[in-house]
Amino acid sequence: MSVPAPALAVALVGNPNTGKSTLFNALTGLRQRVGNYPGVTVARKSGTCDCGDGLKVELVDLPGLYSLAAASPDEQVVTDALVGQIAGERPPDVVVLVVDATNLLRNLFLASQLAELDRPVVLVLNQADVAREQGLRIDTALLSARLGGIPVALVSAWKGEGVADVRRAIARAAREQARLPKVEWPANIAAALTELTRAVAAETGRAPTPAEAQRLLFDTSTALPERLGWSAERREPAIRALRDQVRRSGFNPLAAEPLVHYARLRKVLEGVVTEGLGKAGRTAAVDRLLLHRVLGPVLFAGIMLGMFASVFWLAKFPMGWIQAGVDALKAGVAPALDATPMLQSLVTDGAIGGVGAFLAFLPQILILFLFVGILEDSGYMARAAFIMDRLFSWCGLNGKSFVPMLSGFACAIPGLLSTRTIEDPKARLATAFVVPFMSCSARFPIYALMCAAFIGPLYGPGWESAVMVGMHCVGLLFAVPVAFVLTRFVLRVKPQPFVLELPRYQMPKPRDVLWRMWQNAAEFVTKAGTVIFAITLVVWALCYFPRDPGAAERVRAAQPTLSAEALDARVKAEAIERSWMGRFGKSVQPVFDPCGFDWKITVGVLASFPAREVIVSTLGVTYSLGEGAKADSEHLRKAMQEARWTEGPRAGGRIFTLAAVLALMVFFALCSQCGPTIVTLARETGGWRWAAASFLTMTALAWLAATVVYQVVSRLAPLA
Amino acid sequence: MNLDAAIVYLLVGGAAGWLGFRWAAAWRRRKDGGCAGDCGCSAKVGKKG
Amino acid sequence: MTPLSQLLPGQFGKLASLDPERAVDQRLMALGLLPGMVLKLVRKAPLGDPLAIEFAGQVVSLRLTEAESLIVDLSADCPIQRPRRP
Repeated sequence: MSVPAPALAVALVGNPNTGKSTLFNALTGLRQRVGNYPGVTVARKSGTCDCGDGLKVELVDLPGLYSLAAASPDEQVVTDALVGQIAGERPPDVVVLVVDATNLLRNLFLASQLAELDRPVVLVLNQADVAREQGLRIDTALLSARLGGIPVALVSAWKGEGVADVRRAIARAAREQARLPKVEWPANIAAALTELTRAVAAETGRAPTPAEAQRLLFDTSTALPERLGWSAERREPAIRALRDQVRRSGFNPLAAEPLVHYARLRKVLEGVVTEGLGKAGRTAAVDRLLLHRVLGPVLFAGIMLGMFASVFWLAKFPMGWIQAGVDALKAGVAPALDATPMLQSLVTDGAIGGVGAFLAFLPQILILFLFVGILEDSGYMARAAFIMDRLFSWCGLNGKSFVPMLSGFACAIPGLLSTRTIEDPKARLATAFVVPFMSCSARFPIYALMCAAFIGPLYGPGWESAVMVGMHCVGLLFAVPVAFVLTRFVLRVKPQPFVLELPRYQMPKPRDVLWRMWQNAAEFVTKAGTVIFAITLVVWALCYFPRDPGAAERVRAAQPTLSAEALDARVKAEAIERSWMGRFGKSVQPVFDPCGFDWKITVGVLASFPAREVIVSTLGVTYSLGEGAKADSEHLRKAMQEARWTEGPRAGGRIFTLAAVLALMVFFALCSQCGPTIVTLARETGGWRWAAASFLTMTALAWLAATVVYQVVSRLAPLA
Repeated sequence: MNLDAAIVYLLVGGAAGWLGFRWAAAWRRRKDGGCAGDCGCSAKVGKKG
Repeated sequence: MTPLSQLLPGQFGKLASLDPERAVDQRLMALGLLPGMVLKLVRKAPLGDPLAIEFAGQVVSLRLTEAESLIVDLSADCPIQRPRRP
C-alpha cells in the first residue's frame, strides 16, 4: 500500500477517558492502520483524515496520558512522538489535544505542559453534549484568546457534532501556526532551569530543550538523563543543588510544576465556564449500585457469568448454521473428487474439516468481543479493577496489572503489550509473567467443543456455562499464587501505587464497538484462511502418510464378516494409527497417560504447542480420518463421545470420561501453547530467561493439574 | 506418480513451505522490534508507507 | 487534621498537606489534587480497599496505604458543593 505522503502529520493526544478514540474514528472513518512503534511494543494507530480543500493529513492516535512526566513506556512514546524522537517518524505538524469539556481544569494541565513543546495546537473540547446536559456553558472564543489564539472546537464526537469543525481547525492551525502560551515560571525556578540547561550542555555537549530541562528538574523517575548521556554521579549533586534553590523560593521542587500550572490555569479558565441549571450525571447513582458493598461483587460475578452464558446461547444458532454449511460443502465437494481419492481426503477431511471446525467458533468470538467492547467503553472495566484490586494487591500485583490481565482474556499479546503502562520494571515483569495464564480467546474453542460434546449433553446447559466460567477462572486461580511467589520471593517487588480514574459512565458508541468486533472477526477469519489452513494441511499429511495399500486386504482377511462401511472405517482407523503422527503420538502418549489422554489427544496436544487453537482442527482431522469419510461436525462430537481405549489397562472404556474432559480443559487452560506469546515475553522482559521460565512453569503446572484432576475425578466419579 | 498424488504433494509442500517462510519472516520482524503481527492481537505491523 | 485513610465514606475535607516525595502523591498532584482542594471520600471498595475519592469533578481510586500521606482538614469550611468548577 503506497500512500502518497500526506501533507501534514497530526498527533491526537489527551487524557484517558476523553473520547479520544471515538473522535479518531470519526475523523478517519474506517481508513485506519494499526501497527506499533519500532523498538517498543506500544500500539500505533494511524489513519488519513480529510481536512477540506484537498488537505489530507496523517492522523496518529497516541496513548492517553495525564502528564508529560513520563513514568511508563507508554507515556514515553507520547513525549518522544511529540518531539519527533521516534525513528522514521517526523514530529507532528499539528497537535490535536482532546479534553473533556466537563473537567477543563484537570484536562488542561496536559495542555499547559504541551505548551513547552512549542507546536501548533488545536484544542478539542469533547463531550460537549454532556457538558450541555450538566448546564455548563463554555466561552470558546474567550478560551481561545486566553490560549494564544489557538483554534478551539467544542464537539461531541459521540454524537458526531462539530467533527467538521475539528477538520477546519486542523487546517487553520497548520496555516496560522498559533502556539499555546508558555507558563511563566517564578524567578527562582526559571533561574534553576537556565542553570540546568547550561550544566547539561556543558556535560553532554547538547543543550536540552526547555521541556527536557523541566522534566530533569521536576521528575524523580524520568529516564531522560540516561538518554541525554548524563551520568548519575555527575547529575545527582547538580540536580539536588538546583532543587534546593527552588526550595528556597518557597516551592517544594517536586510539587512546583503542578502548583504553577494549576494556578495559571485557574486564571485562564476564569469566566470561561459558566454554570447554569443542569442535571447531575447518573454516574454517582449507578456507582451506588454497582460498587455497593454487597451488591457490587454479586453484580460483578453476575455480569461475568451472564456474559459467558450469553456468549454460549447467542452463538448456538449461528454456529449451527456454519456447521451445516461446512457439512453441506463437504458433501457437495466429495463426489467431484471421487477420481482422486487422496485429494478427496485432503480437501474434505483435512481442509474443510479442520478449517470448518475452527471457523465454527467465529460467532462466539464475535459475541465475546461485543461484550468486552461494551464493558470497556461504558466505563465498567475501571470499576471491575476497583472491586478486584484487593484480591490482587496481596500478591504484589495491582489494579494496573488488572488491565493487562483482563486483556489477556482476549489475547495474551496485547495483554503483554499493555504491561508497558506499569512503571516499576519488576512489577511489569511479574505481571507479564502471569498474563499468559489468563484464558485467552484461543482457548475458547477447546472449552466450547468439550462443553458442547460432553458437559452440555450429560449435565445440562447450566453446568455448561458454569464449567465455561470455571475454566476461565482456572488460569486466574493459578496466576495469583504464581505471582505471589514471584513478587515475594523471586523479584521482591515493592508495592506499586494504584491511582485509577473511575470515569463517567457512558453509552458505548455502537460504531466503536462494532469496529472492534469487525477487526477481531477479520483477524480470526484471516487466520482460518491462512495459518490454520496451512497447519491443517500439514497435520492431515502427517496423519495420512505413509499409506499402506495392502491394509484393506489385510483387514478383510482378518475379519471377513465386516460390512463394507465398517471395513472402510476400520481401514481408516488403522491407517491413522500407522501414520507418522500416529506413531509419534503413540510413542509420546505414556507421558500424558496420567492425565488420561489417549494418543489422538496427545497428537492434538503436541500439534498445539505453536498455537493452541490448532487442537480443534487437529481433533477434527484425526477423528474424521479415523471415522470414515462422512464424518460431519455432529459426527465429530459423536465420534469423540464413542471413542474407546483400544489397548492398555483401560481398554474398552470410554476415552472422554468426565475426568478426561476436565483434565484436557485444565491442561489447555494452563499450558504454554503459543509461540508468539513466548517470543513477545522474551522481548518484553529483555531475554530468553523469563520466556523459558514461563514456558516451563506453565507446561509443568498444566501437566500436574491435569494429572491431579484426572486422577481425582476418575476415582470420585468412575462412571461419569 | 499419478496426478492425484502430485496435486496433494504440491499442496502440502506449499503449505509447509509457506508456514516455514512465514515463521522466519516473523522472527526477523521481531528482532527489529515490536509485535510481528502474527499473534491474533490487534497490533499488526502496518506496511511502511 | 486526619489522614485520608481514616475518613468515613461521605466525609468532606480540605487537603491540608501531602508528601511530594511519594510517587502516588505526584500522580495525584498532576490530576489537580493540591493543598487547599476540597475532597470527599466517596466510598470504599467492597473489600475495604481501595478507596474512591472525589476532587475537582473526578473520581479517582487509591489504596488505603497510599491515602495515609494525604492529610485532610475536616474542620475547614467546606460548603456542600459539587467541587468541580475551577
